[in-house]
Amino acid sequence: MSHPANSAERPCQCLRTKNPYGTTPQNAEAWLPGVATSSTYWCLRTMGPAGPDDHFVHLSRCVEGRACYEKGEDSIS
Amino acid sequence: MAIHPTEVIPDALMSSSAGASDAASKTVKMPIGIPDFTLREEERIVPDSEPPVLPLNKDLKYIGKPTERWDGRAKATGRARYTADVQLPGMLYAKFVNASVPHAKILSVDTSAAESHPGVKGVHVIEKILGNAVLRNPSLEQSRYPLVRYVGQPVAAVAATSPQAAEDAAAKIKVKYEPLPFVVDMDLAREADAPLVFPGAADQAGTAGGGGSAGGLTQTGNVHGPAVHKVGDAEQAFKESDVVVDAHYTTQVQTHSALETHGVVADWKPEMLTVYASTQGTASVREECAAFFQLPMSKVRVITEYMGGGFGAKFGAGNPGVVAAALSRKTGAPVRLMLDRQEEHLSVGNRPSSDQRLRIGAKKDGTITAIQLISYGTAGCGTGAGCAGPATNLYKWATLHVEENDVFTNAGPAAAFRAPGHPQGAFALEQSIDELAERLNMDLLDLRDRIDENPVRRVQRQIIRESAIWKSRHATPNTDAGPIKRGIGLSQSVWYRHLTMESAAEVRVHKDGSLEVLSAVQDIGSGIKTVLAQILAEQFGVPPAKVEVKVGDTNYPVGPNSGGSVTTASLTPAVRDAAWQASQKFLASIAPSLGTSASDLSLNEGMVRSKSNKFQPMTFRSAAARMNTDQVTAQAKRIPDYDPKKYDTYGGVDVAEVAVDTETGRIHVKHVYAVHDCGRPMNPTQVISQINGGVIQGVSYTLFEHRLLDPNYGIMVNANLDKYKIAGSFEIPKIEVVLTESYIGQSSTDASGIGEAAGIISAGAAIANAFYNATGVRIRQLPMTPAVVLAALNKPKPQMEAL
Repeated sequence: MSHPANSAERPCQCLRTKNPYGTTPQNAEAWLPGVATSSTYWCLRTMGPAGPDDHFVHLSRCVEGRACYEKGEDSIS
Repeated sequence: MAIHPTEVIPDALMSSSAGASDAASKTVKMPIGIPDFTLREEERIVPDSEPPVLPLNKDLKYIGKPTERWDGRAKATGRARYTADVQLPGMLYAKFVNASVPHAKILSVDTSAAESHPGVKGVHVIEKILGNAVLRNPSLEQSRYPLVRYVGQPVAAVAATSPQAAEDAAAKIKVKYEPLPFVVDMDLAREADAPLVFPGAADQAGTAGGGGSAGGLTQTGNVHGPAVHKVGDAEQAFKESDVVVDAHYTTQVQTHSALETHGVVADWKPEMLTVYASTQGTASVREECAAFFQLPMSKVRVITEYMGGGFGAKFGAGNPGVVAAALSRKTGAPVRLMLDRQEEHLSVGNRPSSDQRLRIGAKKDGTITAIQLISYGTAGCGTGAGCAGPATNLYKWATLHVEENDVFTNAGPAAAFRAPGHPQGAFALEQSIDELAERLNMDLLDLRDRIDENPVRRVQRQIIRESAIWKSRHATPNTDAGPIKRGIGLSQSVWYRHLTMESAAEVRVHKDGSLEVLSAVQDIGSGIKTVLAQILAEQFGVPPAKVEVKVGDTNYPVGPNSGGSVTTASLTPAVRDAAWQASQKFLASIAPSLGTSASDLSLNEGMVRSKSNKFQPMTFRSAAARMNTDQVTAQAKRIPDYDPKKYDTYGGVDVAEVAVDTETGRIHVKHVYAVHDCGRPMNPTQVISQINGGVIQGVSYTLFEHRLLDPNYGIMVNANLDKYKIAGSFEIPKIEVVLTESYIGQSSTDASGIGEAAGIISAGAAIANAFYNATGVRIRQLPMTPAVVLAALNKPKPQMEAL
């Protein structure tokens, strides 16, 4: 649905979340760290809670350095 | 107190889009506060292109008035076409094959018998898409297929010419598993030697194959967390507190159980992939289908004409979406894939459980010195079990210490569920606040007045103070002498004003006087169609039923995904802006034939008038015939809130009256008095309907709903609507709703949402507090089944206690 909004690092382009708050409003950033723990995540590649490497997907995990991380530079074919 | 908004309306209102941040602006005076309580005016600086300030509801004809559902007749007569009703020429029917074990490596999937079954046109096996990934544990994970982590996980699917053929063929697919140790109980999953749901050593480093931890989140065994939020020194504050309430609460896993299951009809054509979807986000389905299949967004169309509920679990394409599309591409035919009820319970989401230790410290005057919440919850093999929203955001505190942990189990992953985390959190917080009031010898409402800064809830508590139900409450618990004990309790809730700017609409005015509004937004059952009709009705002075509303199609301007109570707050200002701009274009188009200028014309309550009396007032329809074009259109997109530094919460206060049978353990919720706010109520009928639904869902969660997993086999033993008990008509209380109309001066409609805060958050605590008032005993466990009640009352367990 949307990329997580409150990551210090750019999350994997395949990470999806339906956090309960829709798109972050203009000044809600300060709220998210305290409430986004109820957000659920899935991987676009697997449509499930595990990524292609069979480990769980989460804003804290789907970051650069994970083997299946995709930066988002691929263009649509 | 009457307020008549005033403003200077500029001449140039013919811009095609509103809201550019660098556009010229104007200062307007807007109503702020609650009529009859706190109403006043405040100035706002808004773009020039914004429509005039909308008066209070009492001064409007259609907006804010109880209005029949625009599509009620279609729904009642069966004309409404839901996804499962879609029939396309040559359509095939698909059926999933789901994992029958809770944790396993798949060794093989034999589809040969299924492929030779009569009527089968295609088979799809879900294979691992490894890409550039490196497995964390190759010896365990090396397989063509993803690891199975829960019973019900999709493995393959069959498309056939009939539902029966698909089901028969699916049964012929042979999946060979290598079973792995599993755990479905959260407490057992936390133990050091528990089977691991996700392989690999504890607490991976950042560059490990499976990814590392960011933001301080660690993984130890099956525990992911804690996510820590600390403000000040809570431990020191507890030491300096006059009173500390320390309690432990647990809540169960609840499944969504929407009336309509997840599903799609996918039609892959060379020129376009069309997906009819039961979704809360046409935009989300389109985006994911495009990304998954590497298609341009312009080549994917998503349609949701009618939708039978989702409660947060229906976002994105999901496995049903991509598997149906893959089968459609493979077979060259449209494919329908609707989940059955069992699959709905197992694989597409649930509300996580919680195990919370909550400590609250306070001074003698009620001032909260510290809140500490340590929580664990299981979202199955997913994450999202946090529940600190209420503890963090409902009351004023001096120090805060929150630690939230996800515990992985071999169960279906959670999905967002109406006010994620908040029913769990409020169940604990609002009982502890009551307990704190008792320890401080303070009135429940007086204590909340002291610690709750929200001005709307202050008014709501005043309404409750003066209500008959609250006045009838026993001053002391356990007053009734007989076995049936009556009690009354309350709980507050909190939710947040969230928006999505990806909310747009087009308004069309035709020469015959007919009106259309178009947006890709889907109506998930809460009634946005009706609200859009009301906005045009108000602008053009025609009844809402005469407005043509076209939504749920990505061919229209982008609409918001409906989650987190964002839809009405996000979309209605865009629609009103578009309607306003279309009305101004309309006046410009009729002015020449009336021998005047657009600035001489006005359109109010369905009548076109000349300010200089150049002609007699005429109806909108008559005037439309004078348009110098067949159609005028205007599009608008949501602009940011007028005061972006202001961030509002809302929520409401609910009072529950219960009768507790202390011999059988049955709790009968007799009456719920629900006082709620959602900014400007656009259609009170629908707002009340949502609150009714939220209260019913809250009662159901509190007393009945409970996903039960067999610890020996890992299967859900009540994956149906027979043994998964949901509140029925006998269990639904009398529901009395009081709407607190509230103005915050943030947009051209000043509407907010109601979906999350509509009773589900506060029901558990309100009922538990009522139970305490009835019996003098606290229940800190959900659901409050007869067995739980009797145990709390120290009564023997009934012989026939089942679920």
